[in-house]
Amino acid sequence: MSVLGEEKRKAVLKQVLEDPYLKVAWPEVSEDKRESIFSLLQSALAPVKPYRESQRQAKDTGVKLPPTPGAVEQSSLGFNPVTKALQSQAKQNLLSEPVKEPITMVFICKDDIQPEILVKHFPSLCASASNTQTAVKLVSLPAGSMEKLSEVTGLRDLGCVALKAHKDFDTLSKVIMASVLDVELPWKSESPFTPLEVKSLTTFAPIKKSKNQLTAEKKGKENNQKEQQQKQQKQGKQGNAKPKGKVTKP
Amino acid sequence: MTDNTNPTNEGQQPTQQSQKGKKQQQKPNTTRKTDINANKQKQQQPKKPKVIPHRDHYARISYLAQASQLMGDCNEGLSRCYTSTMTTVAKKTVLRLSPHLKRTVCKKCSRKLTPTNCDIELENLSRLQSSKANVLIYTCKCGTAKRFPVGKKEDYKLWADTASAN
Repeated sequence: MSVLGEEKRKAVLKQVLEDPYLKVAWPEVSEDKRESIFSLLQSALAPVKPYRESQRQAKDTGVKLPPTPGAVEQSSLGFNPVTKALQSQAKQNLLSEPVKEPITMVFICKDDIQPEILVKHFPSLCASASNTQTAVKLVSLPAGSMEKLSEVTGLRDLGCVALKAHKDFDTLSKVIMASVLDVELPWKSESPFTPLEVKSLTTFAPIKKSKNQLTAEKKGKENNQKEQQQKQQKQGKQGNAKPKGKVTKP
Repeated sequence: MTDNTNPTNEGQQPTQQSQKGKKQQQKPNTTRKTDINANKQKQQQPKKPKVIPHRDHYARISYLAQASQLMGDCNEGLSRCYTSTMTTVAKKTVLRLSPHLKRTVCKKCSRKLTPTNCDIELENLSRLQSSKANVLIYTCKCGTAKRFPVGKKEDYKLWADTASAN
């Protein structure tokens, strides 16, 4: 009986402590600049697809490979390559080793990648990968750009791109340096402490009876049982007595 | 009520009775439902407490979480100490932490999982590389892994995010 079950439940508020650094802000870019950046990125990644096709042909036929274009050599495409490249760079930064050919730009199709947990680590990763000399710029691409990117490069579901500094990407990097801010982590800012945030969420809980009510119910039950027992005893006596009377009367 | 179940009953009377019985049944049901709905609406707005209960404990836990995040890269031992005390305080005082907060802590060695601290990988062991088999893995330095089957339900959201917050 679900209806009865619902009757017995009441709405309650439950307090939950929210993650103090839940919302690490992504650097904001205006819509027009986003579009222009995206078109520049598409043109920069254009040589990837023909190179991959020629690679495939080389495998099949054994023809010599053409020299790898800069767009292929200086970029990492896909979720795993991008995160790994950024992580190794961040680790080198931590050990204060000089980084050879650092990554300078990261593009994520934030609106197309679901669920959110997949892209959650990128802001802090970019921030820890950036150095005093070179900053890693994080750009979220407009919605629907994942399909276009995968069309351009010939890779399936391409949502993450990281680029190193290279002469092929000069125009792109100039635009980004001018328009996109660095990633700022709240715990590395001047005032790292964020105030307490406790969420109260509505749920349903069973209605608990108070101790007094419970004891009263128990007593009531016991009394009922006693009465029933007494009744049964009486009935038994009567039942035993009746047939005797019937037998004796006539 | 019993007439429906007994097929041996003859004549029109039992059918009429059953119809009547149905009508009688329906009426109280509808009234019940409306009552319940009204009750629900009343119930769905419980009073918000003016002061958060155990605010001091919450404040302590939140402070510890932030301190451990701050120490995450520069002093690992201290950061781990902070997170472990955070979890013990939360357990002792019986307070709930949001899943987002719990997901940033390693369950075994209580490290604060920062991207420099753990390996993040998207694994797909299926032969055809279907996106449904995508699993996001956070592997801590100590070797324990958190696995999120990301591809299974793309629009999945945590209850804590979807529940109506006051």
